[in-house]
Amino acid sequence: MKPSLSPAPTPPPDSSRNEEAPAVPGLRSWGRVYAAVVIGFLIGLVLLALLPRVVS
Amino acid sequence: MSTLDYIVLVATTLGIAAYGIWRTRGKQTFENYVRGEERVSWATIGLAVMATQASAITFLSTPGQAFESGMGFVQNYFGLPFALIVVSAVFLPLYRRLRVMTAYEYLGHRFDQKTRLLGAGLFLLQRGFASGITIYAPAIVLSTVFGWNLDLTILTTGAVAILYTVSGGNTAVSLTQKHQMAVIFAGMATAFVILILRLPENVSFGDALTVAGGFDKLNAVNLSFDLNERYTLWSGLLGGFFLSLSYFGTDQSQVGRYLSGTSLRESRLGLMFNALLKIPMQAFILLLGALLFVFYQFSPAPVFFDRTTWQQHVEGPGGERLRVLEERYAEAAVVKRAAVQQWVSDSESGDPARISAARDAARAAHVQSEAIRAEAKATLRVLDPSVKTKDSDYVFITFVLEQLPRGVIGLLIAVIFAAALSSVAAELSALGSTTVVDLYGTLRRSRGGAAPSVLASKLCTAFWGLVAVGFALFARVVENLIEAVNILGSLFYGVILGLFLVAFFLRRVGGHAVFTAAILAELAVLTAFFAFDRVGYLWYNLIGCTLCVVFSLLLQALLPSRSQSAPEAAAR
Repeated sequence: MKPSLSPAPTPPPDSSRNEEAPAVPGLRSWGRVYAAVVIGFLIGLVLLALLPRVVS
Repeated sequence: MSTLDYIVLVATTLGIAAYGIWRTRGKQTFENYVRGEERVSWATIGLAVMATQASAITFLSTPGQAFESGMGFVQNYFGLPFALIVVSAVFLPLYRRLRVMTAYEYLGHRFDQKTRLLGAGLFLLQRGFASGITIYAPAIVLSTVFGWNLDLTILTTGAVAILYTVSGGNTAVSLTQKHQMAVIFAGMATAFVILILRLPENVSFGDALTVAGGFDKLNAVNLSFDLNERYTLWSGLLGGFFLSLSYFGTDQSQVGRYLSGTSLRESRLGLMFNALLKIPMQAFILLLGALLFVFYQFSPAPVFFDRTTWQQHVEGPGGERLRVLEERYAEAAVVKRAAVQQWVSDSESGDPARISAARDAARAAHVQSEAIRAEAKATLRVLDPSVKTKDSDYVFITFVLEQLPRGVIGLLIAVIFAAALSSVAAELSALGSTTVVDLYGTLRRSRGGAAPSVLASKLCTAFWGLVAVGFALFARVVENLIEAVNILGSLFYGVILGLFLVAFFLRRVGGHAVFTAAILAELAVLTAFFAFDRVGYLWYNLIGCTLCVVFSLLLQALLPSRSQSAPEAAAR
């Protein structure tokens, strides 16, 4: 990590476990995981919707 | 059940409970007891979250629902992945940053103590009742089927759950849930394989799916916009989203599970595990129910699946009418079996007209036999108006008892007990934690006392265990067990979620406004349900949440100076 000249931010109460930024932590790094879940859901939804037609 | 079944059942059920007690033996701190040891990996969290939600009712009732009405119930879970993403992205980081032990502690940070107590109180009220149903639901079915004493079944289930939950706290709950889920997966997979193997030799898995589809049992997605329809894609996505968001984001029985993770990453992975696998798991259980329907097209099915109740009335006054209906049903079933066999045979011909004609004949035969089944239920109701004629909760257990080999029956009953214990333990742990942290702890601190002790936590957990068992002992049979739990949750969850959404996203709203808004919204939901009840229950989650948020904004606008609360900054 690069050294910063600006004052250090006040640590949150759980500073030892503050893995990500406080606003919506990890939204960017976890965005791909969330996108994968949504895509998985959509694929499953299509399969469930098509199931009766496929087997008939 | 044979001796081997009882050995498998007792060894599995008590073995896991004893393991939980043994692993958590020794000195415990208050934080460890309530929050867990924080050494829990994502796999354990994922399985614990899944085990907490999947109660015994899930495995008793869900296959019967698909048997009766098809796979549409799966839509109930369509909002779940989206809700878990919001919990993972927004709720979880805030909880961990403030190191809260319960979700309602956050409301105290953000608003004030009375809003915290309101959130905790609403949770205790609905979860206290629900935990009674969680114990009662499997006990009523198992006692009816096996002839066990109902009170003894409730007391035994409750005693085992209370014993290891009180002994080991949150850590024992998470540890045992992992093994209970292993038993559940093994049992359900075994039942599925045996079900396929028990189909007639000329009926392949593909044929079984064709028959299930031909009888509309595989219709999982309903695009209707009718608000009165209980399960549609839209009610599942919207109502299910709010139900899941409230359940996973604000119900301490779930919050307690994922707050015990080693890190934020582990907790998030555990939640995403559920976001990906919950719908497939439910779809699998419903598919099992749809295939049970196919199985009973080729094998003799009882006219009424609650055989004990049926037999009692057959032997009682007016039983002759029931016997006649039973014979008529058996004759109609023979005709239907031949029609379905013909349909399966014709399916291989490749002739669409022939296949269509055979399918129509099978469906017509099914309509005839269902008419006799309906007549049998109506006659039963005339003979005994107090009897519950919805027998779908007894379909799967009937199959287990009549078709599975020795030992495997014990495993499947162990599945039901494992599911019951895993849910009840998580609920008791959450009820105890909320009581000791949010009620007792707040009261002690307001009087200048120290933090609550482990002993106080254990006593609170034991107290809720006794309340749950007491409620289960006096509970009445409800029309459908799994729906009763969901309806009860839907009446409270929306408002609780509203409290949290205001806390997270509406920074200008203070404690006075949100507190009053939540009470008004809850009264409106209860009035709408008991006085009108015009919409499917899932919509009450959306209604309660929306009303709470809108009332909060209106009241904050009306009472701007009084409603701004100081502790708000602490949560930001």
